[in-house]
Amino acid sequence: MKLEVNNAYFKYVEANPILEDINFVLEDGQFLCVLGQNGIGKTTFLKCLTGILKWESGHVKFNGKKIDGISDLKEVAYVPQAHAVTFPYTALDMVCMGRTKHMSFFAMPSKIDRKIARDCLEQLGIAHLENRKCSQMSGGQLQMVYIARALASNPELLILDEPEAHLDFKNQALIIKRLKLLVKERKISCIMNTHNPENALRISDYILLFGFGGEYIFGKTNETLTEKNINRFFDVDTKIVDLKKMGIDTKTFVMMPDDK
Amino acid sequence: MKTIEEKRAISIIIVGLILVVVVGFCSLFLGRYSISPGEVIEILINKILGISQKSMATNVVWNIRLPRLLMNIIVGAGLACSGAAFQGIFQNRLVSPDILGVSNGAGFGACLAMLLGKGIPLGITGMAFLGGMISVFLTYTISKMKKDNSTLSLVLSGIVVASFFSALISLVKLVADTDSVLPSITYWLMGSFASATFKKVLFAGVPVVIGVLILLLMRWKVNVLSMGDDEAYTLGINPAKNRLIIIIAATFITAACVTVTGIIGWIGMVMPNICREYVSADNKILLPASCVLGALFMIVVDLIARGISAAEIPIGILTAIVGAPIFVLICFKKEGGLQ
Repeated sequence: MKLEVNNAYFKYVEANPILEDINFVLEDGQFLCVLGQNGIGKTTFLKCLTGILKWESGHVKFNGKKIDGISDLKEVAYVPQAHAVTFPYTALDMVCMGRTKHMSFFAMPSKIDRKIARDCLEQLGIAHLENRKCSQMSGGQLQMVYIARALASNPELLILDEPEAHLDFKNQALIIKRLKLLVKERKISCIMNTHNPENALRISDYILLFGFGGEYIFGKTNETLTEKNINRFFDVDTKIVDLKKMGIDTKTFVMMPDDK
Repeated sequence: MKTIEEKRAISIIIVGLILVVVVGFCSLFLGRYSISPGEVIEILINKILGISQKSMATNVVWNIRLPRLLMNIIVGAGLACSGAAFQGIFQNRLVSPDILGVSNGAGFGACLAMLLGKGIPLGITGMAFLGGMISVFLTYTISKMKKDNSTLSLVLSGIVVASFFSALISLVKLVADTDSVLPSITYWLMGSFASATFKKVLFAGVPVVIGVLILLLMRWKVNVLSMGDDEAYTLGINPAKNRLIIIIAATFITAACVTVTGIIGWIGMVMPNICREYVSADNKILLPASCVLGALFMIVVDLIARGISAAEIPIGILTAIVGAPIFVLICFKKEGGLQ
């Protein structure tokens, strides 16, 4: 797997460029987290990347081949933010939808498709939800189902739009843990929008940090996700606290109070 | 390996099919002109073997009740199936097959034909069918004026076109002769199977069968489209193209049904919801189930329509009277019902 984004531009209105001259390369098993304030263009970026929106100029190459979008690309799958479903599909129905790219025009999911769908549920630890209606699931369970659906197409690259948004601590940690495992076991690469720099720190190899006016930086997580950059791009005062002294191998972000 | 839910759903469909045959057979001997079941079987066998028979009973069974039964099945299955598909692609449980204006368009075509009298080249059925197709074409064209090609703009322009044609129907009613034309327009708009003939069965049957087949073939796509355009795209299908195919198929079905029976409401909206609640939400099963149970519902309601009183009750009234309470009972009973 090799994804290249070259000189990519996008704007909704003339006066306000959203994405300007985006360039980066992502390879096998690498995890990229996209960060930035609300309304900065993270979701727009994913939409352009998947082909839902079209780049104004520039292009995306997948394994060396220029692509328009991921609709006919079996190797890339998209995970939306968990949203309520209009119809009470079961988890298995939902995950089978992920097999659509592998099916012919008039086909229904075959036995093999259903087997793969079940395996994906299993791998994410939600096999027991197989026959549960999506309308009767918690946000965390539903998000897992969406990830399983993307996984069912057997992708090399997952694109995720804030999968841990609206979830509690435990479920956030669970999603991050499962994604980490997927990258390790299946060598899947991931591009993930997130609002949580700690999750980004925990899971990602690379960071894409968006600022206003089309400004951005791309780089290795430990070099990019620094106090300086967070303070600059999020316009807040934060400190990164290393918990090594407490015997815990992790770092955490602490927001400084306004009235100091 | 099939899950218990799927096995249950499939057995409901099979039981439904058996009931269609049983109730359908009953509808051949029940009615004002009473015929024994044995006689009905004899008449059917003789007809199939080509033995000519000229009794009153033969005429009733073969020329009146059988085409009527076939029309019940065609229209019931067609409306329920296209309703289920439309609810899927528009991601809304309250959508009915005429959401894009086909019923009112067809109604206007028929009313206009009745107003203008015998001189109309296509006749009432032809004009109704044409009106239905034109209205959906208008809806689609208007929705295209907005660039984003969303389902919402389709529904909005459908409402506009439907109310436009509804106004035109009122206009025709206003100028129609109150003694002869106005009553026939009013009755046509309430829907009826009374005028069923084999010719009409064929006229509606061909588009409905073709349309239903297309919808059944596309039923997996309905699942994917029900996730919304962006997700459908990332899951690997072209939303605009697939939706158009489904809209064309469903429009053919609905236009053909409305054309031969007049406007029959409710069934296209209620049956898919009942099936979704009791059979399966998965369109792979929901569409065939809607076809079978829609046909069954239509046979039963039509049996009531012609049996309950000496003068027949228009079917459109009965589907609403029977359908509305059933709908309320079913959809608001379970887990708070509609979300």
